[in-house]
Amino acid sequence: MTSMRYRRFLIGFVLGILTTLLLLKPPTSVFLFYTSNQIIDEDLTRAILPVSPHLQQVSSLSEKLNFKRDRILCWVITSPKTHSRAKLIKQTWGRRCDKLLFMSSIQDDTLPEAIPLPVNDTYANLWGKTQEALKYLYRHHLDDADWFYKADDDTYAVMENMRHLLSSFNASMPLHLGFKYEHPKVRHGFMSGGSGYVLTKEAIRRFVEKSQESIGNFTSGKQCVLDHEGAEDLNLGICLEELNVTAGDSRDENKVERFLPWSLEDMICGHLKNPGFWYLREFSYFPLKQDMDCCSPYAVAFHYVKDYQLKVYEYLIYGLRIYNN
Amino acid sequence: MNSIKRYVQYSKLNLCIVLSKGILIGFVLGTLTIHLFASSSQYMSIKNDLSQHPIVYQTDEPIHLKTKRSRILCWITTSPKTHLRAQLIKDTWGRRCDKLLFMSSTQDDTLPDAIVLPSTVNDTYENLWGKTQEALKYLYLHHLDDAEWFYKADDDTYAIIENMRYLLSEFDASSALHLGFKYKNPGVQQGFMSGGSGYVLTKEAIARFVKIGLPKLNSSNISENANVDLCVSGSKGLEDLNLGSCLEILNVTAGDSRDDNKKERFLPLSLENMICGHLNNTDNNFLQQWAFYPLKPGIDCCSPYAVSFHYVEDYELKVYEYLIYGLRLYERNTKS
Repeated sequence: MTSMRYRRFLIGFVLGILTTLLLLKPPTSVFLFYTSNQIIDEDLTRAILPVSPHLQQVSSLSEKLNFKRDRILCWVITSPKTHSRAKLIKQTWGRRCDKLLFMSSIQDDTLPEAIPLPVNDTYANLWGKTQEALKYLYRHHLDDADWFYKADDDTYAVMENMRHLLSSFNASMPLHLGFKYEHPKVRHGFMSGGSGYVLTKEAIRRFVEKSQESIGNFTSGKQCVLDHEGAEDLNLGICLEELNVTAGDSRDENKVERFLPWSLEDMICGHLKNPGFWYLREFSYFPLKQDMDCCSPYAVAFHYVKDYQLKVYEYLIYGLRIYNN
Repeated sequence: MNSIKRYVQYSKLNLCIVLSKGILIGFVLGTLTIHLFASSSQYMSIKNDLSQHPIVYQTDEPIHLKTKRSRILCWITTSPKTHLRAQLIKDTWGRRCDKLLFMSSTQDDTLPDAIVLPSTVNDTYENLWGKTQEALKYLYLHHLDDAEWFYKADDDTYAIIENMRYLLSEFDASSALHLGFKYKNPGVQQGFMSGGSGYVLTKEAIARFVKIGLPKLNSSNISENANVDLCVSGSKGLEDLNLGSCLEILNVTAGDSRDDNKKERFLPLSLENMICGHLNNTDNNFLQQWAFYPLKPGIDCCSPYAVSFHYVEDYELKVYEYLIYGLRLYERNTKS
């Protein structure tokens, strides 16, 4: 008898819930909230709604249930002369990385994260320095993260959007992502160094292990050379291609670029004011769009953000709110 | 037999009661749950709608505020050499004003609808005060009924009109009032507003200035009561200081435009200077010394609901437009 009552109650309860669904028609986002790992609570922080001036800390259900989240290690190329920029990165976007390292050539008590690599710290030696940095990451940090994002010290990265981008790729594959340039020596393109690029563990592993067993170049007769001079990003792209590391497409669903290698002013208005803009147009791997369409709403990195401009970007992106009640 | 029948009937009734209790509780619980999440997810659904377009965020008009009769007319002082900037303002933040006017000295292909002020004024920085007088007269004669608030900006100013409406909603549009970044000055007890980040005047403020403040000589067809040299003599001098001084004489209140946390909303120096000036720029001392209210260093300098930025030159206007309205943050969970 009691079980019959319970059954009836249950039937009634379910009918009640169904009735509310039919009558009240809740917004579908309510279900998204529960059904999806990727909760689209996009920019509640930038909201056009009056919220507290601090970054909105929205706890998603997945966070509460401790879903595994891909870790990103950011390694920023800096040099003794520009440690001040590194410090500004530390105070701004760098703190949103799971781990933050600075690849320099000296030790600095005021910048404990600076790794003194054994290199001559000049622009010409950037390729050599990059190789040293990758070797260092391979030896000491390969297990600290799933993704490894390299940036310059005049790069500003938006880590939330970086995570969103990376969530649609597989971290266990050999992969690199960034703004893609085309070049006769690299069939699938290479990633611009300026706006930075992301490598997977596997990509780094392949590169370092292969370079350890090679002298001068990976395979004689082929293009990848390890001598210290030369364009860092082009060379890395050539070598990764030889290692069968995929050069991914980092554009958003509307085919708009997320890594932005030139200053924002040039990306948006370069076609109006900059005689050198033809280079970008000529050699970008994918067709470029002009004006505001150049740049994804989910842009991941900006370049040529120098010194205190880093703080300006931090304020404009994370501090400012737009009121709309 | 009867007792069995009654027993059966009774238990059936019981079950019906239980069933209805179940339905009721299910309904109530379901409604509560949905309302709970609807209130937090309505933000999401709004955001989702707006994020349909990855291109510049197009929502320009908070219609509800418009119906509250708080229209903002933006007037930009520009000059033939910088009409390009005016065009860029037109393409970016200017379109969020209820009305947008450009005060220049000529019209050209870039800016065919510029207001050409009377040629009594040479279009130079020294004559800015003269130009401002002409502009205010023009507004008084032709546009006083077009808006409740009149926001003046330079052509290297970037304004956030939504935040401007938020600020202005706290003030009375029918009063005699001006708002902006307040500087102190020994000659102006209540302070004057910096011209660079722009200032807002009410209808009444403009009316008093034009009818009473301007010398009779210049405005003979407007008022019989105008006192010569009440507060305006000639076209030279610092525009913002002179205006502030004049408005004080006319009993126009110099309002406090800071936010609830006493952070400034009108920002007269470049953002870099406002945020980091104390670290790298000795000129920043000027701001520290003459700001009416105590300034805060670092990112605290600037309200999250900032209303205008200065020294945003040429194509940088588009960069600000992108960073403020185009860029979105994909926020999945916490930890910053």
